[in-house]
Amino acid sequence: MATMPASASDLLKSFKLKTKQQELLIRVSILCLVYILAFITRLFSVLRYESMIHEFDPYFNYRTTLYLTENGFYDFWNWFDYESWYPLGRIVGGTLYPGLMVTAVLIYRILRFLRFAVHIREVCVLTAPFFASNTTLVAYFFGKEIWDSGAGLVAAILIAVCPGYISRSVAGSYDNEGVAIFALLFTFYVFVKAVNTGSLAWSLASAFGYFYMVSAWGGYVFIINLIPLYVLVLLITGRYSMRLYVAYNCMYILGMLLAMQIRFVGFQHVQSGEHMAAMGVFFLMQVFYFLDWVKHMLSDTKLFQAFLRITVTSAVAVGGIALGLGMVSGYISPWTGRFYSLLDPTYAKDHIPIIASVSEHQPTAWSSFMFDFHILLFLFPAGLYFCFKRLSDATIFIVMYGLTSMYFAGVMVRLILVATPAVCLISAIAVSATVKNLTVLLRSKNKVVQTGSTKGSGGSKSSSKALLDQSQPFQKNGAIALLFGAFYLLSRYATHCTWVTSEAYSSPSIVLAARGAHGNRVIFDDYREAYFWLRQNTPQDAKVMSWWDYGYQITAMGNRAVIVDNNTWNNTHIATVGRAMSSYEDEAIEIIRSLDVDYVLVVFGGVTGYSSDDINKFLWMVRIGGGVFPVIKEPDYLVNGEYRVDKGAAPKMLNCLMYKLCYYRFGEMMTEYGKPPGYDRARGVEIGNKDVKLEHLEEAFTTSNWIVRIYRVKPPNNRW
Amino acid sequence: MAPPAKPITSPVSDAWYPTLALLMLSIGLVVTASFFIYEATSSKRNRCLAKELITGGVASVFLGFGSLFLLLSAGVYV
Repeated sequence: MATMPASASDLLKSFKLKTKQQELLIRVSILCLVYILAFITRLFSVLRYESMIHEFDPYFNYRTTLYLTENGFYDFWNWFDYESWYPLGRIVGGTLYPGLMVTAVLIYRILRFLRFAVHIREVCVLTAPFFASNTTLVAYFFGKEIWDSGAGLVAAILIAVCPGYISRSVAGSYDNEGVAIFALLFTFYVFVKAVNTGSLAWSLASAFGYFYMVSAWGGYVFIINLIPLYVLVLLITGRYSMRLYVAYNCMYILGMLLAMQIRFVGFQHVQSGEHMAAMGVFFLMQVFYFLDWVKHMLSDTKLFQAFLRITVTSAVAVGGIALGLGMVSGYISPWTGRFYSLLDPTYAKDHIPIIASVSEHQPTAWSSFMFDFHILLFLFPAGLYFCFKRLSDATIFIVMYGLTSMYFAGVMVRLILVATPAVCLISAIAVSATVKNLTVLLRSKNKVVQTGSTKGSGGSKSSSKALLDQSQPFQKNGAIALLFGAFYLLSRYATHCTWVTSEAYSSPSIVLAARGAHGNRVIFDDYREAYFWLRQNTPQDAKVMSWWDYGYQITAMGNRAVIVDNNTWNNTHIATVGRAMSSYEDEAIEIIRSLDVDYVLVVFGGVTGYSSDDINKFLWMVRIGGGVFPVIKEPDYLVNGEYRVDKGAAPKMLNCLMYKLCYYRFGEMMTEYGKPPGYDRARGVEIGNKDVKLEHLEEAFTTSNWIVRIYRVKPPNNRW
Repeated sequence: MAPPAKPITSPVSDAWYPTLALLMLSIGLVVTASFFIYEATSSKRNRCLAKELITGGVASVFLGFGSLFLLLSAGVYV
């Protein structure tokens, strides 16, 4: 019987894992849990409402994906859509970024091949969370590359729940950014890996990663400017090496050639001012290589110095002359308005009202930063400090990415999304390094320091068995307290992120919810009600005029031709619609008849108190219309500079088409107890003109909560 | 006339589905973890083919049944 306990303890010993195995198990299980967490935290709106596409832009993406599944890639690539921007039409194949649609259809085909009978809409809704999970994995590997695997794990956790990323990648937000952030981080990771290892394989991978990014999002311009800037900084700080040369050359040339395959991008890499930095740095690299080779051949340093001076000045001169010639002759186009307004934020407000009117393009308020980043805001400078202490090629990159993206995030709210991976990575470095230092202190042994104590405290970073500095007696307790503080902060971060996701970023925008009088939840599904009415009750070739916000949704769900939609590529066409909405009914009907419009759709929030309706957007219609047609003047609609709809409003405002369409029959409506009829709950006033008569339009449909109102254009009278 | 048909029932009663799913998935995951650790941390010479095959087989059986019961308990009647 003596052998039994021996074999039992042997059995137990075989189950006990070695340290390396334990570490592997912990790492893999953390990554699996983070992967699952990133997916399920984005599912709030699917659980609360249903699996549907949110917002406006995703409906266009969904429609094109549907077209791609039904008609195949060739038809999709050459698609001319005559149902939007009537009568101009839109070259869809040449004006979109196909990456998202192709990815969704690929996933759909794979699932179908495995005999999972999914509908393409389900795949579209869940594409963004799936790619968010993949982004956490890439963040882990990137963190491992920059610092160590602990920082990688923390980076994966932070980016899985960070609200800045969640806002554009919830389930249902089928938009380019969902895939693009994955492509961005992947390209950066693979490029940094290529610079670190100098291998051609990784550089090839970075070229293909760049190609995926170009196919996915217009923000690829950030990559093609950040990477040359990074190379330039490395050159200036004296870190030129063969690895950098191989990595950048391979990535730039191959990436550029691949990017030109996307029709929307075309020849921009050689013709557009925004891409010239990459080309300039490319030539600079060749000059560096040449100088390096000459230095290697020449043995005389004085001769080499003279040669160096001549070559550098002539290279810069030739480059400057070439750039100048290109810009003057018009071959190299200047920076487009969208990107120029990032450098000069006042440009859009003065020159391009359409860009200025989008709420996502406004400068960021401090509250948005706190809301989207929480504790990462102060961990970011701490992480920068750690990066500067251990400068290498990789940490220089992450510092540059963090600083440039934070500048852009400050200029435009939408770009907080681009800054999120950098902020998460740098904060992860801070967290990981701090926790590591503190735990090293906790695990160190008490050793009496014989000689001067100055050397002793320096060992805490390097060796795992550190020496405690005897002059500070409560180091261990301090370390425990700080560790508890760190864990408390991280848990508050997790709580905040989940709360933000649940309350702020999970609304589908197309379905509105509010609390009723007894605390029950009331759902307003008016938008879809109106679009399906259009789909079922209008002739197949009917044309619908509305403000450009709703264009994508009308074509996707209502299946009717629209005049303008969210692509906003033709400012004059939009200004025509704006002019029609802001003119008196007699002038407007001429424009409406000239555009062949059959139905006019407006959004009105007066009954429900919905504040993103057309009356609140009306001033932008006036501005955009007035920008092209001087007959529309903004002061005509204001009273003492104030925008009003009550009795004291401007007469032009009280009689324009938009006012009449929104407030038709509203004058008799009782909206709130104790208020007179015709009380507009969104503006909080009683309307001025209650007796609205329409001459050339008639009411076709108003949804149950009066949010969407559709009017039919009457044919012209037979007699005078 | 044909004899009356008996209703089709599952050999395992539906009340058991969630419990069985949890149990089988957890055992399956534990065995998968052990297989994975064995693969990742042993060098080429130390590996034993029989152990690999047995661990992999047991893990796949448990994970397969576990995912079947998971799908059934969630309402996807595969």
